[in-house]
Amino acid sequence: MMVKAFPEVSPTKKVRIVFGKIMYKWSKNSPQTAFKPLNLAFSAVAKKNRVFGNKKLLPARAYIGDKVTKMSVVRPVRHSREAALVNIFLPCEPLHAMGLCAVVPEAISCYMTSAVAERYFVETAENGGVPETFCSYHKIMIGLAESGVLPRPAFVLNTSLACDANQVSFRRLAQFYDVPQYYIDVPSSRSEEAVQYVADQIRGMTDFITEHTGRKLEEEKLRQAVKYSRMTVENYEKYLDLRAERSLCDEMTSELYSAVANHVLMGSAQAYEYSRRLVEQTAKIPAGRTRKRIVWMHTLPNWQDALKDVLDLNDRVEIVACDMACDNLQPMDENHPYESLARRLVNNFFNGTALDRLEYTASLARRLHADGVVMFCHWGCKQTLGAAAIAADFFREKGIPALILDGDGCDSANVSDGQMRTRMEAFVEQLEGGK
Amino acid sequence: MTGYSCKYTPVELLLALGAEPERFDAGVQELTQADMMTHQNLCSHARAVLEQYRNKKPDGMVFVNCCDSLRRCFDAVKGEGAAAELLDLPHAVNETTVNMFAAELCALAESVSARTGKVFDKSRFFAAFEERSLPAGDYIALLGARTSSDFFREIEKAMPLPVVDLTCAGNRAPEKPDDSDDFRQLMLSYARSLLTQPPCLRMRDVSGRGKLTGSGKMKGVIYHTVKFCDYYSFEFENLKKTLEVPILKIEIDFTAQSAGQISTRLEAFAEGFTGVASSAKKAAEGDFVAGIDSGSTSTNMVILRPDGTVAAGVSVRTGPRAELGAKKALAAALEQAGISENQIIRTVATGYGRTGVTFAHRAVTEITCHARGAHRMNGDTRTIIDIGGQDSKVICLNSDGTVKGFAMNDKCAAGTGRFLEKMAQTLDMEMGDFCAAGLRWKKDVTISSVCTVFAESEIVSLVAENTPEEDVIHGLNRSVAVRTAALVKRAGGAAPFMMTGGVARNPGVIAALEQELGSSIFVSENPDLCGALGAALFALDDVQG
Repeated sequence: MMVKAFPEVSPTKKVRIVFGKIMYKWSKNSPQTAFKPLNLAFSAVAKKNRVFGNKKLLPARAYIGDKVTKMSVVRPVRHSREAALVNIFLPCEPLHAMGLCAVVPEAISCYMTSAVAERYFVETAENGGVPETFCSYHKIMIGLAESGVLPRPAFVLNTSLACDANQVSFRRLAQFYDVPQYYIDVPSSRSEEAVQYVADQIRGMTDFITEHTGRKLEEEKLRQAVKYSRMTVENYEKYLDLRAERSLCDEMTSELYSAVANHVLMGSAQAYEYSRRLVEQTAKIPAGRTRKRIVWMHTLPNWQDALKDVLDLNDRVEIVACDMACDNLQPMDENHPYESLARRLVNNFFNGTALDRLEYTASLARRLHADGVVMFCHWGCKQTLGAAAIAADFFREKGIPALILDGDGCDSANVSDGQMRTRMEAFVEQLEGGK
Repeated sequence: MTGYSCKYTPVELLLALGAEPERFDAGVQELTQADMMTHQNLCSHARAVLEQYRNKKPDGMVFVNCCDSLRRCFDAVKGEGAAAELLDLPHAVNETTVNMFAAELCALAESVSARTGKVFDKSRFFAAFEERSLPAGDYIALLGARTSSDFFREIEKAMPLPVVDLTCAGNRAPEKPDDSDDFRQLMLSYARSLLTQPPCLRMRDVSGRGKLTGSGKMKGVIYHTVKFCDYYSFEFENLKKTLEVPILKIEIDFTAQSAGQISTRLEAFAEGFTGVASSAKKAAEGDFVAGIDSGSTSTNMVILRPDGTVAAGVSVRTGPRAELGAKKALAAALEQAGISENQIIRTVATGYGRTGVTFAHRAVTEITCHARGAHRMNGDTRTIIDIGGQDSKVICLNSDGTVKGFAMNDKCAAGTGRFLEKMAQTLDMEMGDFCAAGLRWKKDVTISSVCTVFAESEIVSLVAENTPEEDVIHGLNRSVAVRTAALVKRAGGAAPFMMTGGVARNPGVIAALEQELGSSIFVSENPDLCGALGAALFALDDVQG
């Protein structure tokens, strides 16, 4: 793999750059209509992937790509009064049971960056006083709202888990849109008292939704949603076990899709179907580990060409799992839906010390026979940044090669392609033993 | 000694257990120890806590999981095998969370007691509660994120009114809890008092913060944020729109150097309360006054006649020392005016090097001076955009030329004159050619990076792709314009605009900025002399009484 000092810009990237420029002007001049071309473009790409998708990838990836686009981007924008603005850890089973949809910063911001259309929203947020050092997923979300591009949702729902950004951005968004906000306080202590406290708040959230939409929650539908979650978790665990013995041609976007499927889509028939197809399709691949295997920590900059060149669709290296797609893999019980959802939040490894997360990652790496771990330090995520030095020592002691990679999950202006490429390639070379 | 940081720390309990609590809020000279323990982009206060932990070697540390950065500080300290505790602070305050927090306090008491070998001393506990009240007279409130104790003293020195520390750590004031012989009951009441203090911004309900700004005696607000602590900028945006008193935003990174850079802003803010008049001898026939602006790149001087007309205006390179640059400017100005030094009876200095101008009678910040100078140059001006060598500022004016508000960027080279100089070097061009070429662009090239280092590598890539240098320069001008327009918006600037500083001589940047702002920008014939002219006008005030 040669380091290309000045990689050529691919024709599709050129198209996206032109599209980004058009969107910059469109968003500025006519914000109310700017989501129309965006939605059209996202839907077209999802459809193209479904019909003509890359044959090297599991078909399940195109399936979930289409569902994530429809459920987390297109529908919340087209039918914003049926949409809740949520953080990625919010248990969405009650929303699925009540026929509502959710829009989440990590998904919608990534779509913007993939379309090279995030610049205007970063600027809008920063011009409105959002600190430059703030998480760029949340920053773009605020920019989308305050530029007038993202229509007003029905309400804002968020948990205190897992990061500081939740405390300020959702409050600001609720104030900006002048919509009610419901907040779930998740204690850090993993006690049964904490579970009950959170379960009561989730019950309160369903009442809150009823109050503001007039929709009643049918307990049977909630149990069905939690049942889907249980089966999704069981399937995803099976998939990880299958993946542990197999190599796949894959790309960063797959893990992002899994992260969305296992969070805001969790509890939907679509997330369950994705997990079912993953198991079915992975099982058909002959056993054998043929590539260097990486466990990824945190979000993935799936739009960044420098990393795509190294990591996507190649025969040398594959990302076998991402911790952001696995933190919700906890036993669920549809007979106790509220307690199940609460326990999933309280016991989440993000709701704990850096060591809790690192121990989980190390176990994931062992389980999947990973050769190394990449900890992606997304700009503005103080939890991950703060754990970086601890992680370096931790993995060294465990004898697991680890790369601490500073970057930005969704602000393309905040990273240097050349630096990212060199670090990532060098790490792959390190895993290959300098071959 | 037990180190701590957050205001929700049960300091009274720690005192009663003989743990000798000490708040780690000093400024630090450097962050080398912290850099070994954590990432450089973690909150600067949190890094300063780690630096002090390494330097002071406390017997124990008590952290509160009040923010992500301090949570990770706990992890880092614990990882070194130190005696560290982490209290789980709820976001919401209700009966359940008060109970849970009380249980945390009981558990903490047990482990601290085991460490110190001391039992809970109830009389010490109650004696530790301090009554706090606001001053009876007028005051300036310091709000926002905590600041270092050293920097707080700097602020107090600079302000004409008493300063009250109402930052997240400074407004700590738990009420005395109800007495009880049952320790658990006492902790329950104590948990309630800790949790019902004026909330910090990570709490669910922040309406209680209203009482921090509700007093009519509060004549101004200095709003402080910490680099890489994102909480408080959000509140600042709201206060800026709602408060009716002057408000100044400052940001430090807890190092002594960063605090020093803020002095101009503090002085300019103080000038807004006190005015800048001063007594000096009255002018007589044949007397002159002068203003000198000692900047990082150039030193500019203006000499005025007693009737206010300009006798001389010069600009020289500052060189390595501000004082030498000032002397050079003085010699050139005297020559241009055709007068001798003793005919200048009053000199006011401004600019970054203002305190280094030994022959000046007093110093006024460049913010106040620019406002004054710009008002003289063009009375309609409501917003000055000054892009200098090492910083950029936006100053909003009242109709009488006094400062209404301002915003500055001096943390990063991007968007400053130095940024463009560096880029001209990368393109191997003289500055004059660089400025001229920026107007001849044909294709809109986007330089997306906001960092000088990243932008340089983007340029290298563009050059490699044979992008015409005119287009590259236009891309750079646009990136400076976008950043500057953002600063204008942050400061609340409105037309008519005027541009000063060295970059005002770059027509490409002005054109790009006019497009971003959707408004024309007035540039005087001598944009470099605006600050010096303002300083000279203050000198004239002095001698005219």
